Amino acid sequence: MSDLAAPFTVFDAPEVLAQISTPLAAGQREVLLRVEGMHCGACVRRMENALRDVALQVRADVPSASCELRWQADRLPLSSLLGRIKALGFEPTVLPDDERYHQARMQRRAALKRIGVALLFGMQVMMLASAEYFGEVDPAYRTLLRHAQWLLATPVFLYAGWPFIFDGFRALLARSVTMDTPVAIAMVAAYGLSAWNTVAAQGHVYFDSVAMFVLLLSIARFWQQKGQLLAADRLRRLLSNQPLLAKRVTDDGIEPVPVSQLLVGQRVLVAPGEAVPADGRLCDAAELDESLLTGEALPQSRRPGESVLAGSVNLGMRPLELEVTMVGAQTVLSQIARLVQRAQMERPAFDTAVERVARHFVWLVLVLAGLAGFIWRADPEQALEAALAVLVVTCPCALSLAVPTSLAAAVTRLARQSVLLVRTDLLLHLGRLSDVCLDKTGTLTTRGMRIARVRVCAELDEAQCRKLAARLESGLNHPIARAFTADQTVAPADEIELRLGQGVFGFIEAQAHAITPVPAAQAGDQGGDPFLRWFALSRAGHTLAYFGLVEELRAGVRQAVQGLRENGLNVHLLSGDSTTAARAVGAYVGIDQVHAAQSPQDKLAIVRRLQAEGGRVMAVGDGVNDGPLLAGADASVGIASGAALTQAHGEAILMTDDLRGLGCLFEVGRRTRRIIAQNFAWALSYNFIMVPLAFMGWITPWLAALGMGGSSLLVTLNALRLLRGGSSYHCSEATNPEAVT
Amino acid sequence: MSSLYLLIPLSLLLVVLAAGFFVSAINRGQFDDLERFEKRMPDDF
Repeated sequence: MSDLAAPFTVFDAPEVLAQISTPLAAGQREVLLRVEGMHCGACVRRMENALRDVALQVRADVPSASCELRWQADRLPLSSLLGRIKALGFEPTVLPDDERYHQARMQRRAALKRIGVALLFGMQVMMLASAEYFGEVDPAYRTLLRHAQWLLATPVFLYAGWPFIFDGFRALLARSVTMDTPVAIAMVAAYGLSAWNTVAAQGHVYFDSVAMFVLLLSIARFWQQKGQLLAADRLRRLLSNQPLLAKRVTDDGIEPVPVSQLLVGQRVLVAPGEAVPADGRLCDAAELDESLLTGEALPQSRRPGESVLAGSVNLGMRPLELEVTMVGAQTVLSQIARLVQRAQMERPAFDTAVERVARHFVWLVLVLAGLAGFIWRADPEQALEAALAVLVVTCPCALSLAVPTSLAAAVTRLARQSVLLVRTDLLLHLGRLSDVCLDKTGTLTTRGMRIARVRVCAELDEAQCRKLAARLESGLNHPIARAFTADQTVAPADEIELRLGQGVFGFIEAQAHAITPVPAAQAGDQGGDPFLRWFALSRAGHTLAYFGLVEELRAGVRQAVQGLRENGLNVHLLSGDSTTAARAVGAYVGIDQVHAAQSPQDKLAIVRRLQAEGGRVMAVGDGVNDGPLLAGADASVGIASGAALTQAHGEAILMTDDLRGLGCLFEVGRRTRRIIAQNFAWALSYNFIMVPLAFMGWITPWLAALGMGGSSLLVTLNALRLLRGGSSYHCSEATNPEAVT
Repeated sequence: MSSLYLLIPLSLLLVVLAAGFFVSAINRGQFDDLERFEKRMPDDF
C-alpha cells in the first residue's frame, strides 16, 4: 500500500493541498479526481467499498470518469487515499479543473486512433474474409488468406479492442461484471477460436466478426465520450477566464505573482480587458463584464467599495485596483464551477436502482449465452455463433446510460442559460408539482426600491430635498434608505436614528429633520397608485417634500408567472409585506392567491397546509428570510445574482435577475423526462426482442455488434438532443428591469 | 492466382503505412476540433 501511495505524497504538502482541494468544516477537505479506468457502476461500487473506512463521501461520475472525494484532511494524508484507489487497478489523477478538459481531449484522441486502426485493418480483414463467403477456396490460398486475416485482425483485437477486453476481464477477476464483460468474453472467444482453426487448418474463422465488433463498439463509445467532452468544455469556459497571474501592488511597485499566491487583504491591479483574478473590493469606480457569472450581458458599473467577482472582465479604459477578499476555491467563480460539476455527478436514487438492474441483467446474459451454446451443441459452429450473438447483441449499456446521459445533458443545457442545477433529482420531480409558492421581496422584486415621484411643497427645489433626504438616510442599509442614497454621496446627518415603523430622524445644521411614512391621501396622491409608498421629508414638523417609492420588479416576472400557469400549476404569492403592497404586486404579475403579512413560519405553514391537501409544492425564494420555506417545500429554487450565490439555497439556482429562468427549468425538465422515458422504452424493447432472436441463432455476430453499438449510440444521441433546440428564450439576453409605474 | 503471395503482403504494408499516418496526424492534434471549422468565417482568401 505504502509504495503505491509514494508518488502521491507531493499532494500532502499543505500549500499544494490548499490549491487542489476545498476546505470544509472541521478539518474536512474535498478534492476532485479523475479516475482512469472507472467505466461503470460496478467500478464505482468497488471504489466506494475500498474507501469506505477512510473517506467521508465518495461521489463518482461514470460519464466523465471523475470522482469527488471528501475526507478528514487533518488525520489522513491524501496520498494514502490515492494509493488505495491505485491498488484497485485504477489510475487516479488530481484535477485542477482545467486538467479535466485536457484529459477529455486526450481521451478523444485515443478513441479516434482506436477507431482509425479498427477501420483500416478491419476493412482489410473483411475483404479477405469475403473470399470464403462465396464458396470453397483452394486450401493453399485459404491458409494464406486466413493467416493474413489473423495478422490484420491482431492490431484491431489487441489495440482497438483493448479497453473492452481490459475492463471486462478486470471486473471478472474482481468477481464482478461490467457492461463490457459479455463483449470481452465474446471477442476473446471468437479471436482465440479463429486463431486455433487457422493453425489447425479446420472449421471457420471469425476474424471479420471480431474486427466488426471492435469497430462498431469503438464508434459508439466515442460518441458517448463526446457528450462528456461537451460538459467538460462548459466548465473549462467558466474557468478559462480565471487568469494565472495577477499584478500585485506592493510598496516597491507592481509585481506579477501566480494567482495561487494571492492572499486576502492584498491589492491587485487589473488591466483593461483583463479578468479579475480573485473576489475583492473595488478601490476605484469600474465598469465590468459579468456575463460569465450572471448571464447579464450589459456592462455593470460598480462604485468604489463595492465587491467584484473573480472572472469579471475590466471593461474600463484604465487599470482598476482592488483589495482581495476571497481567493482560490472560495471565489464565487470556483463555487459556480463546483456546483455545476457536482450537479453532473449527482446520481439520483432512481438511477442507482437502474444501475443495479443492469448489473443483474449482465449476469443473465452470461447465463443465457451459455445456455444458447448448450442447446446448439450438436452443431459446434452454430452453438458458437448463437452464444456470441447473445453475448454481443444484448445492450445493458442502453439501460444504464438512459438516465445519466440525459441528466448530464440537461445540466449542461441549463448552465448555459444561467440556471444551476444543484440536485438533478429536481428535473424528475418537476412534472408532479401542483403548486408554486413565490416569495415577494427579493424574488418577484429585486431587493431594491427607487424614487418614482417627488412632490415638493416648500421653497426648496427637488435636488435640495433629495440631498437632505440622502443625508438623513446615509449609512443605513435598508432598501428604503438605499433608494434615497443611491446616486448621491453626501455627508451624513447628525444623530441619525431609525425608529422601526416610524421613520428616520436626525439633525442637519442643528435642525430636526425626519423622513416618515405617510398615507397616499396625505401626500396628495388621489389616484391611489397602489405601488407607490409615500414618505414625507419634514424639518421641525414642517413638511418639505413627499417622495413616492416603488419596488423594482425583476425582469420577466409576468411571463414567468404565466408560464407556470400554463404548466398547470397554482401560483401563490407569499409576502412578509403589508396587504396592499403584496396585492398590488400580485395583481400586476397576475397572481390572485396572495398571502400577505406572513412571517417565515407562516409561509412554511402555508406550504404544509398545501402538502396536507395532497399538493406537491415548489418554493422560489432568494434565501434571505425564506430559508424555512425553501427547506419545507417538495422542490426549491433559489435566486441569486453575483455575490449572493453563496447565500442561495435550493435544488436549482437562477443566476440571473430574470425570472424567466424558471420557464427554462420547467421546459428542460419536461424534455428530460420525455427523453428518459424514450430511452427506457427503447432499451427495454430492444433487449426483449433481440435476445430471443439471438438465442434462436437468427442473428449473425456482426449484425449483433451493429445492433448493440447502434442501441447505446441511439440512447446517447437522444440525450444529447437536450443540448440544442427547444426554448427560443435565452436567459443571457440583455434584460431591462421592469418598473411598475 | 499466385500473384496473391505478393499482393496480400503488399496490401498489409500499405495498411500499416496508412494507419501510421492517421495516428501521427491525430497525435499532432489535427482532429482535435473539427466543429470549429464549420463555424469559422472564410477570412483568409
